[in-house]
Amino acid sequence: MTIELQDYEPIVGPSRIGEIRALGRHLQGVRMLHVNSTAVGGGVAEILRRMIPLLREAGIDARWEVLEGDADFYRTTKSFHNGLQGLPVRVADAELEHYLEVNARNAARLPLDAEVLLIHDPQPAALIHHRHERSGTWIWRCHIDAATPSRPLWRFLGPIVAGYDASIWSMPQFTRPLPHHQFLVHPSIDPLAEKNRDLEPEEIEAVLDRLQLPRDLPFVLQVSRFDRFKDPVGVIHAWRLASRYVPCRLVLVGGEATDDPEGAEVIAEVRAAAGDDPLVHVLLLPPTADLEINALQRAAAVVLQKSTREGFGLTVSEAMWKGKPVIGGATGGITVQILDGITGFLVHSVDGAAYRIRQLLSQPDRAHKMGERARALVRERFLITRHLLDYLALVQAVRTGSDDVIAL
Amino acid sequence: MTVHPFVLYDAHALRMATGRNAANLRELLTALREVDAAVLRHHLFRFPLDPAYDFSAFGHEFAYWAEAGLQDAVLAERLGNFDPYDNPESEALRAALLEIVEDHLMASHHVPWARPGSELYFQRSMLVAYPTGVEATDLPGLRDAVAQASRGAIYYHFFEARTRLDVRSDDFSAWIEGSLGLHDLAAAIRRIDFPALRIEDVRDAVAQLLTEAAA
Repeated sequence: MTIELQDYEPIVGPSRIGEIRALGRHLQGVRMLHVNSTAVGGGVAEILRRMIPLLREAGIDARWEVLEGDADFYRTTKSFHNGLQGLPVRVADAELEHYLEVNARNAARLPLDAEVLLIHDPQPAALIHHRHERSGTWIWRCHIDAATPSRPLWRFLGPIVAGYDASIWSMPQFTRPLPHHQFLVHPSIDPLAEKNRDLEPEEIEAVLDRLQLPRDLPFVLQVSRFDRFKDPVGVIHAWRLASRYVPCRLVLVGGEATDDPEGAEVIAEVRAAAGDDPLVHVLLLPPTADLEINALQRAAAVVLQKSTREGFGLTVSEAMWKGKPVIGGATGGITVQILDGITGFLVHSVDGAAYRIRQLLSQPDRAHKMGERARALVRERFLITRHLLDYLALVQAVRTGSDDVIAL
Repeated sequence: MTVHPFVLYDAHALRMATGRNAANLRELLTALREVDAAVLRHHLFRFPLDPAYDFSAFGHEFAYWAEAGLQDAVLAERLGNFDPYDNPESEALRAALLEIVEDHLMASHHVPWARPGSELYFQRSMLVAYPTGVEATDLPGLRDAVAQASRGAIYYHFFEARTRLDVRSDDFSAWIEGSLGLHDLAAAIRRIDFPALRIEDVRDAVAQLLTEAAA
């Protein structure tokens, strides 16, 4: 089913859709090319799949192309990804050569003559080496926290990225010093996606039945990869402290660690910390379990994202969109989504998380009001419609130049 | 007499990183001396477009950060009472902010720090303003336009206009006075004490005055 702008109107209101259409009228027919590295899986492909038709409906002649690479190329760019996030990585000269070759091959194949080119993440970044007189403004969209990259890697990637006319980052904290405008665009969630759409009570009940989750007590939920930075063991300790005062269950949801040795270790630590407590449920769900996650977030009384280090952490907005007060670690993008004490609580310790769990479970009215404010904030700030408006304004800005105010 | 229509614009701010942040009051002071005027203008004038504005006791981001980041209530109050619209010329803004922060720092026994995660990241922004297609040629038409205007539209015509127009006015009262000759109504709209109000509250206050005048 094709989703259109008007489908979002009941969700975000006519004013936001009017803004999109009004700005789009000034951008009719502008050719825009997005290039990323995968057509399926991952947050970037997920958002582009929905974003491209909406950009087109707004008037932009938007296209989306996917880089073609081999297994060696993707192994190298996986190292880039880790290295940009600060892990010490060594990439051999031959691998770097191959990376440049794959980009050169793709440059010959792709139509790089758009007015605005948005190149996502490091995999296709070297396409910039093949810009020609017919290609317009090149913008690099970095979806990663690259504030403290591996130095040898940045010595290679830095000059490539510096060749762009501008870049886009999710947070100011994630940026690197670069000689061009660095725009800030938060990522977004799609309220019509399976993971976020409204569910009927029977759909929620059916999922809880399937997952064999008793409804005798309210439950506290964390949905996250089993990764030490998400502190799932800390969540168990916090729940244990809180549940002495307010009886509740704990549901920890994450993926199966099929190709991640550290993930398997963390799952073992989580199971050890949970022991045989019947009130703790550790669920390993496949990446396709969007409906299940949606239902769990809607059924939860309180949602946690107790990360000690985080990228943007869009699972926070997912839960907030479902009207849940979220208790989040004060790190990364969580601090933008949770206005402390207003749309949720920011915490710095296990004790802090435990205290806030108790508060929210014992004051359902307060939790409800906080959840309503959380949903309103996501509607204004973290839905795909705001993201779309950012992209339209960006296209307008790069066409017009860099004034403080651009009045059309 | 031909009345030029009031053209309702919408506006969307594109934020840009500067690569600079402050974790304590001394770093804020140094940055206030050194950053581009566009950075000062962003934090002083574009804060109403930030969701945190709705929950802030203060009208600009430096005061908000003093309270929420540095947790320094006295500094927050002093900065909060500073009205950047009083003289929006860039170097006057810088001088006024420096005066408050230097004075406070000299009187402090310690330098307040923000907790990790609560640093102030200096930014600048471009405001893209575009006609919505809605135009008004009389008071009821303007009232209807205002009542349905988005946050961006109210920001552009009411808040941003005060830094754009030579006179201390917003676009609504300027048009009401210039095109309709309704001086008292224009003065009443200009008197709205907006730094204390949410954008929606400003919209409702203007719409209320227009409704009463059109009745």
